[in-house]
Amino acid sequence: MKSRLAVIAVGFGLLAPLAAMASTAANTVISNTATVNYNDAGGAAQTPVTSAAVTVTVTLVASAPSVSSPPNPAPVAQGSVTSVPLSYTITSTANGLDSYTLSATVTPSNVTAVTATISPTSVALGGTTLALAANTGDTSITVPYDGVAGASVNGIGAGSVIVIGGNTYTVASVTKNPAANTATIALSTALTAGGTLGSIVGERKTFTVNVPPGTVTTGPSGTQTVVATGTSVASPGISGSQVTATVITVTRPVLTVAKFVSTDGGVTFGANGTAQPGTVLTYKIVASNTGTTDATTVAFTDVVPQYLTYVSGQAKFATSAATAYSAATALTESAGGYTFTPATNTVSYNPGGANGTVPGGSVLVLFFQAKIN
Amino acid sequence: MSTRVSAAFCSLIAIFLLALPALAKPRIVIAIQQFKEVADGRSTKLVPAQSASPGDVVEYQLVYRNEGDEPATNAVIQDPIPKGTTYLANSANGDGTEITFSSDKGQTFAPPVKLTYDVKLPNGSVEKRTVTPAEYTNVRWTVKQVPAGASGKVVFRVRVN
Repeated sequence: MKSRLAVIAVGFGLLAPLAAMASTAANTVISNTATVNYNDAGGAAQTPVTSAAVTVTVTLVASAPSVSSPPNPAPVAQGSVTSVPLSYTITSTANGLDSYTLSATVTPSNVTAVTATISPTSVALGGTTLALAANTGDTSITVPYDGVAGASVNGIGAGSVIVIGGNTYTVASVTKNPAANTATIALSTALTAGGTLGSIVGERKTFTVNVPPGTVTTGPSGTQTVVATGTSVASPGISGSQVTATVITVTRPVLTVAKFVSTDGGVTFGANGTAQPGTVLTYKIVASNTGTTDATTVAFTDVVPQYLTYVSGQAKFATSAATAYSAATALTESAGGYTFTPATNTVSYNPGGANGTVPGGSVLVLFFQAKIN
Repeated sequence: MSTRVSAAFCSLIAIFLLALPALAKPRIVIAIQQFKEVADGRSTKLVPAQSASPGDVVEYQLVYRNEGDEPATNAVIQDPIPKGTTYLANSANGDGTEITFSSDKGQTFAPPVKLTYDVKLPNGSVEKRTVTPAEYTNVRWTVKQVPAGASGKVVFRVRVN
């Protein structure tokens, strides 16, 4: 009679695990106390007895953080910037405070490989759970007490940005109620959607991944494909990555040059022609930017061919291949970047600035004349 | 034993008899021990728990003893399902006890199948529904008699939310 240990029927294997939705915040103290009411042999009620409380402290369960997927930025010209900044958010889905190491993989396609820099390289994100269901319009939420005094609960304090049911709120203040085993998080704005008891309340922070564009290998453009990841420090096997990769298109200018000659004073141009000595030849040099990015500081250099004498004061330029020589803009010798150097018999046109910039798909045309000796 | 009963022995009996009226009542004490289920390869075992993760199964073992010298009758052991946990169906046990549950924080108790609540349907009619184990708020074990010096153990399990 001394020991009446029960035979415990064990049937737990048959039970389906509860849905993972409901959770309890890390550091929550689960307390249990039993009471016994009893009578004596005569049926007279005796003073009830209460057991000492036993407690279980809930531990952190690391969870993959949610990392945003920034939209693809506008195409960037190689060399125009040292890096392209991509702005991310990372949101905790864990039941407690954890730190996350941030990393990014950058996969190049038709561009040189680059290494991204991340700022900051790690973040600490608070996390807790709803101890009471939250309703639309509420300006505060109730979460489990984390067992310590202070102005933050499980890493969430005034100024923290938290996510409840997919919406973000800024924390105004945290009040601890140890007697009720809860803490109250006051929000700067009312809830726009409710949350069920046990829902995760995760902190959100931002970080930046800076991706150098690299250099296009061939053709006018390539891409850098970026995937950022946050890895739990508490459980390094648990990480969360952006769902949709961010693709940075890197462009470069691609110049092609074509040269034509006219024997009729600049009316018709061709690759070849025949002319008598004394004829003035008009040369047309077309620099085309077949890329999608500005080509800057475009400069022409051309050595006047043998048996010809440069004709001073006849050079012109145009920004359309269709512009006739007669309609083109005249250039002045030794001005605006145009020079003829008799010693080397070289024509040079390096206008710089706006005139020297050829946008993607545009052309810059140089005309000059020389007479057959 | 010697036939010479010593005076000292007689006085011992006297003290015992004098003290008897004061002790002539039951005195129940109760203590809780908590364990958690830990998977160990293909089986699970219970280890004493101080901490647990959400999803863990915690078993509470309530050990009671009658330290008095008279039987206790109609002992009712009551334990609220701890906040932050959910009662596991069929986990409450206690040899020779009648087990009842409450879903209203201990105001009313009933055996599982009789534990119902009313739901007002959209058409205005009221339907009785059986409370699911996850909705239990309190467990109660009733022991008809705990003889003097006897002890017993009742258990239940919860899952940490």
